[in-house]
Amino acid sequence: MSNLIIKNGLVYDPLNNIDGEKKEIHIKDGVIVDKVNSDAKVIDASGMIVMPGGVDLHSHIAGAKVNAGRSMRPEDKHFEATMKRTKLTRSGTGFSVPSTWLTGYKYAQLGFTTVAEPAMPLLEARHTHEEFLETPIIDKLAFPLFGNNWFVMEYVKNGEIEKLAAYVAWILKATKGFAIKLVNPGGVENWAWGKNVNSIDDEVFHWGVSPRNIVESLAKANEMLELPHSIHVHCNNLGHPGNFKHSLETFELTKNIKPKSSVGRKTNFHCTHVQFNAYAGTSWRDFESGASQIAEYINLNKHITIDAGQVVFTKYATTTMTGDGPWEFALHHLGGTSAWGNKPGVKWINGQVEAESGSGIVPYFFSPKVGVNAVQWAIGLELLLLVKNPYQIAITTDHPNGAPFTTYPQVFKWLVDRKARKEMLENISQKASTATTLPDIDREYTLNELCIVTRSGNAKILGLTDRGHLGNGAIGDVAIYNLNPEKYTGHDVEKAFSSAMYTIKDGQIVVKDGEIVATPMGTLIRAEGKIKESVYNAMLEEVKLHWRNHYSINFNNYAIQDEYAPKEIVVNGKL
Amino acid sequence: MTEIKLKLKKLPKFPLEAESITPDNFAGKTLDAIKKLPLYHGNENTVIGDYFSVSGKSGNVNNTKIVIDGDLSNVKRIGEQMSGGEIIINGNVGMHVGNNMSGGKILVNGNADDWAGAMLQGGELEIIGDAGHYVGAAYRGNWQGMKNGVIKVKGKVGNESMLWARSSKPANRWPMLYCGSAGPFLGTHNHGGTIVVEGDCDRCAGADQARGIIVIKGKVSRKLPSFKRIGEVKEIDLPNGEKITGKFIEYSGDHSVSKESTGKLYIAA
Repeated sequence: MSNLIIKNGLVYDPLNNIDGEKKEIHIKDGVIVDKVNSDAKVIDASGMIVMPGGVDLHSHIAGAKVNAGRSMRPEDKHFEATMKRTKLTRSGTGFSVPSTWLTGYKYAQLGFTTVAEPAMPLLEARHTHEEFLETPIIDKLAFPLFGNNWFVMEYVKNGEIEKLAAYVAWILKATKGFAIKLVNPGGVENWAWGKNVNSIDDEVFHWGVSPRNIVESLAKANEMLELPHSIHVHCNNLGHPGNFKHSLETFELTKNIKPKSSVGRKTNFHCTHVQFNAYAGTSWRDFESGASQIAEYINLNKHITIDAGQVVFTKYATTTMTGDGPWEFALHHLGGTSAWGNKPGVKWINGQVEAESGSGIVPYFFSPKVGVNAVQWAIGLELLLLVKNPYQIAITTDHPNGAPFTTYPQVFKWLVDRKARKEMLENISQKASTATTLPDIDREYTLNELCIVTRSGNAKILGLTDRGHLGNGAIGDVAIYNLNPEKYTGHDVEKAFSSAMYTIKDGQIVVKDGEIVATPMGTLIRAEGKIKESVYNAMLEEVKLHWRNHYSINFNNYAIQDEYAPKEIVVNGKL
Repeated sequence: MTEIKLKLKKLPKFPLEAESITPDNFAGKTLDAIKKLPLYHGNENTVIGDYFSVSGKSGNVNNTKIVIDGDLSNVKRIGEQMSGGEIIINGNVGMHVGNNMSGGKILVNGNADDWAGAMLQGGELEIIGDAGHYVGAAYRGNWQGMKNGVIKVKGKVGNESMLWARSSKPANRWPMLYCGSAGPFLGTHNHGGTIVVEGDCDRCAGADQARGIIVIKGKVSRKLPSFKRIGEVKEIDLPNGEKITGKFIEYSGDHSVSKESTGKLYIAA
């Protein structure tokens, strides 16, 4: 591997307190070092800004439901979203659910080099990893789903936190996962009986546990295992007016649990795509923003991090996909706000994964003229602007739920330029101005803060110490954008960040002037937990005992083989 | 108007993907540049010059007229996404002619294959002979198909024509289809399209129609039972201001899916 020096660029590296200084970056064998020999290849970045490679901590890019979304929406293959084959790259298509190859190329063009797939049903892990193997350039992580798992609920009911931790440890190993993901804990299990949970104290049928018990127990297990990332939670009641109260109740659950991890993580709860969980009002008629209450809690409490789940208005309908089966059913029946008028939407997929989880997929068009959609757009920005500490929030669009990840540069534009926000507010439904506090917010992000919410902070939230910064020992993931930090408008930022001048992955130039110039395969990042071997073995015996009652496949066929991860990084210790 | 003449030199073995033959792509280009526009033949990268002799001169988009001679029944996607100008095809033409076009005019002096004028967004497509299936239809999976423009077919249109057509009153968009006769499932999922059939129509016209007007001046082989008879009318007003006179029986529907359907079906009495 050749050496690389990046000269004359203005470097943004918030984790090392470097804010737009002229500094040389040296990369040797894919790792950032103090100095390399002078025979290295030199990139002249004069007039450009240099940041660590982007980290996306919540983006549905691979797995069974993503692929179901692709096959359900042949109309998603728009002319504009199509990439033709070149000598180097494969062809691909898909606007809201791009093909795997396109996903890798497009992320690289935006300067992103690490992406987390946040919902991997355990039984579908093989599928997720198969798609990872076909997703070029970026490094990948996957979060297995635990919130509605029968074994989890059994241990929660019996209060056996240590065995629960052992089960989590085994699943992380068996599915090559990275963190504990909960989707509508308890609610998806009730959905198997046609119902949902409406509060964190509702009972999960036949199990005698509540979402409260599940979240608390898994948070405790997470700290017991000393995992790099905190629990990653999609709260109950997502998408329903008035749900901000339930979100706040859920946040409180882990307040007194002490974070413990090998990477010095200080938080114990990550609430994801909070925009969909920050709704006030009692119905769609008096629907308004609850973002300020959520932001107030986050500003007062350091144990929690969130990501935005920003909505962006696009020309074509996006595809919503989540493990939250009951919510997708509700969305399918939200006639008034959908693109097809006053009857249920044209298509809907409902999924059920044996004893583990469920899912749903519905195409959805966010219209700037629809009041509710305009308020949703504003809530995401409110959250991003009202949360004071940028290390506690990350930019996501919950790709493809709020919008495809390719719209990130638009979000950057609104964050750095209040004029751009004002212009938008004038052109969309007035509800965005009357039902939210967005028009009163004057804050504008600095480039340093933008760097935190798109990369440095995100890597920190995930507990990845080898990326998100440009210090010694970090992997050589660098993004260089053509932007003058002295003088820029929101539009300049959007333009610069839409197409990186250079993206460097592990010390190799993969994008040059917006064009893909190399397509290496990324690495899988997974985590392993610390657990006593005796507990681990006891848990395995119990799981094997119940296996026949719960599953349609053999225990020995459950864990995925090492061939699915030819290149992997394992964070944390051994079992 | 400046004219460019294309003449097919040899028949392609496989269908040619000719999405580059549009006034938008030809406008402002020299003949040499036009000859070098891509034309996929299977997995082979060929150019227009390989299959067509090119003569004439191009102007700006709205000023360019392309005349194509020869048997084009194996040449697909002519006029795809065109926004202005004119294309005249003297002969039969292959699939997807004028799909996604938003303006201008295409005249086919012959028959057209399937998907003619699919997802039309504006402009006019006229076919002197017969057309294949899915005329002016939505492509697979779409619930918003033809949004505007006019398709006129002298002969027959095939199955499932005008699938998922969608009008918009605020935007004043009224998709229209005129045809000589029609195959089964004409105007399925219609959301505001207007269809006038001069002759007979096969079964199931207007299945799942929520809005829109279908006028059939001939016989219908089987009308869907979910249409409700309203009465006899002598005059029908079309959204573009046109009037059709004659003796028709008016039905509303389709009521099988949407109880509040405002769609209308007129069949000659």
